[in-house]
Amino acid sequence: MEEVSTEVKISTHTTLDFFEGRKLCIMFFLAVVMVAGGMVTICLGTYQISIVEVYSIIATHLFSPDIVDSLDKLKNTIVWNIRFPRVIMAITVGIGLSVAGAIYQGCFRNPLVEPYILGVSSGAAFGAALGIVYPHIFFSIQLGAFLFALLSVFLAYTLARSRGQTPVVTLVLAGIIIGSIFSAFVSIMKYLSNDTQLREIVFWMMGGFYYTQWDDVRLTVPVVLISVAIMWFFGWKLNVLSMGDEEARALGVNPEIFKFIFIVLATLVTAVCVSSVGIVAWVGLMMPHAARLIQGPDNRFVIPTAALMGGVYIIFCDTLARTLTSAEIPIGIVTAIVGAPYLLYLLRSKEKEIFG
Amino acid sequence: MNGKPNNNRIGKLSSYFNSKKGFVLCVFIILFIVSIEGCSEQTGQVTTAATNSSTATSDSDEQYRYVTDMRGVQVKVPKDIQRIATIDDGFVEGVLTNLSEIDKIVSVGSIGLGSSSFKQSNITLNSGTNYTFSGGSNTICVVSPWLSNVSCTESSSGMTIINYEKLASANPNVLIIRVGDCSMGANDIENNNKKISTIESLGIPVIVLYSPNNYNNSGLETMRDEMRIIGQLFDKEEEAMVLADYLNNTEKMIVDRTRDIPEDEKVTALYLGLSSKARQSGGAGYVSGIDTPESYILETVADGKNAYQDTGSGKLLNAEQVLALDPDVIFLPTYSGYHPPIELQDSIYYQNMQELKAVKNKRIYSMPYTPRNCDRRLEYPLDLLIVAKGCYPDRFQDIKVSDFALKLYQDIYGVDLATAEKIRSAQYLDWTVESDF
Repeated sequence: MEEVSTEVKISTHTTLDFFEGRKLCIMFFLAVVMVAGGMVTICLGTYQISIVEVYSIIATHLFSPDIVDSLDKLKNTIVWNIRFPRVIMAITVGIGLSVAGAIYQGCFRNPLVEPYILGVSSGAAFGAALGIVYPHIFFSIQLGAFLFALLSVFLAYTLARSRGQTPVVTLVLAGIIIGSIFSAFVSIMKYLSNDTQLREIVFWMMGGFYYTQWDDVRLTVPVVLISVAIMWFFGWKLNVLSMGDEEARALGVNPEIFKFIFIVLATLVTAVCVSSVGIVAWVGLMMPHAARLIQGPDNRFVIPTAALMGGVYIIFCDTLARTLTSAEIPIGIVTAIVGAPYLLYLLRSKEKEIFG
Repeated sequence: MNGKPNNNRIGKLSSYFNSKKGFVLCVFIILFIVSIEGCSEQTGQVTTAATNSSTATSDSDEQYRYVTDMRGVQVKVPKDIQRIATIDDGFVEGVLTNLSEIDKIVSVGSIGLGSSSFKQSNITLNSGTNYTFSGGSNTICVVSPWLSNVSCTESSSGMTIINYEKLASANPNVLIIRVGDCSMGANDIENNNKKISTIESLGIPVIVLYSPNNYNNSGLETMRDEMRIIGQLFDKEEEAMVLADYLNNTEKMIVDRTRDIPEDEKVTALYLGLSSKARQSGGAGYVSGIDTPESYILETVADGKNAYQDTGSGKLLNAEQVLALDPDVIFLPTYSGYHPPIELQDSIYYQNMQELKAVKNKRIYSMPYTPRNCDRRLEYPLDLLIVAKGCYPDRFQDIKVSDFALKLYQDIYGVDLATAEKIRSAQYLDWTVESDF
């Protein structure tokens, strides 16, 4: 009886919170910023296309696909096939990595956890390196990265599982171990590669949206958005998990099942994002913190807020990557340069909470 | 009563923006504004570029020809090509120079064609003397220095990123891509296909060439096809074939002189890419396996024997492994800069190598400087000759590589003697003059 009454109490409390105007206003504002940012970014590029032309090309594709052939082929390709998928992909990856970060931080109850904690990045890098060094055997870099990203998490989870339970500390340690092993494998690949392949491996590991095409968007967007929606739907369960396994059980939530669901979905999202654009650092660590600072600890608000902030942040970083110099900078470098000072700020401002 | 709530709101607003939450929100607003600022500036730049490049064509089919590239794809190109874009590391530019079409280049795709991108080599000898080698360059940078000012579509970081919009802004009539050069690596099939299909969707005719690096156990004969296709583009196939034959004659001459060498008299040789990066990895240098174009030159043309009998290119060996191979001759190709023989003979970091036969007998030769050395360029006969003469000096006594180089540059690039000498210096081949090689 006690358990039931507690659950009802939480649910009532959260229902009231959800309609708290200020939080919704912030989310609405961020959504507007994200969409506006995307709309501005799509007008940006080396090739001159007026804003009117950009939007008329997009409008033609969306509302009058029959007359697409009458568009200027060059401008149509640049807007519709190069810039548009890139912007969508940037937003999607920002959303995906940020939400994955929020989920991992909630599950592991650790503020320094990021989406790559279970070795996803090392596994993906190894899969990509295989595709680069042995293109005739592992024909797709993207597929290789995706499969090995999933494999690394599967191995970490299997290693950590003991007597039907998956202790958080063991899981983190298993992730570090598997990540190290795959990092060593990546080093072997680098050793075996020639100059050009080595450049490609390093280049892939720095991340970027240079090669984004509609095929990548078609694959990534549904996976990310559906997974994020599910995770958001179960956001209140993550609140319970954040209290600890014992507390979750006491409240009638089986932590193992929900931990598994959250980790699988967050990993899937991370793997899809990383396999498409390479390793983009810091987003998954920073955005959940930023969202928590604004919205408080309730994951039902943290998840969508982190998602929107992630989308805005990646658009911003991608804009910097494309405009800071005459050449393009891999986005992983930009996110790290911008993100590191932020983490420093976070550590300084929350020093007492983190270090006691 | 009316004023109180307002004051409270202002107070709340002020304290909100002083809080951490407010700080984060402010940062996001600033990020957004900065992002918009960057966009508006860029849009302005773009407008100018587009004005220059918006030349519409409404030509009939009679003004086009079809050229089959090395993919086997028939590409429709204008008969009168006036604007050429390239993505390669100098080979295409070399052929275009020979065919007098080089001045039509409006866009290049390799930072290797910019004279500022080359590394200098610093060497410290046992005596404490320091040598610095600088000023080396791609031959094309000497022949057509203006190319370094042409629009370059590759990232300045050398990360093989193509700026599609920059390429489109150059408005080329045709784009010649050489797969296998650094800017489009031979093994990067998946990304290469993506790049090519994206460029083709821009409406730019794309001619794809495959350098010898694309083939296993490759010779150099595929370069002949590359030259032929470039010739066809300008209706100069015969001239291109004359060039190919001229280059091939050196190979024939060397093969004629070395074909009767008995098996037991064959010289073992090693391409040893000395590199500071190799040393950082605990290695002595990078070597080339038996399935590489380097090995083809060594074994098939010069009739020597590759001391490294494994496969693969750029394989890192440590000092013990090199000592175990103990080749008769060592050739020093470009690896992270130029490497003179004295580096292997007397530098403080190669002391372990002093017991090598080639070092003791001073049979070490530097190869011509090849910035971004994942390609095969037009001056390849020089490579053949240095390797052949290095292996069998008695058979090539009548040929001075120093003079041969000058004649080669003059013949293939049509430059005068002074420029040919500049190219030779830029290729770090002055040692051939000093040692009367």
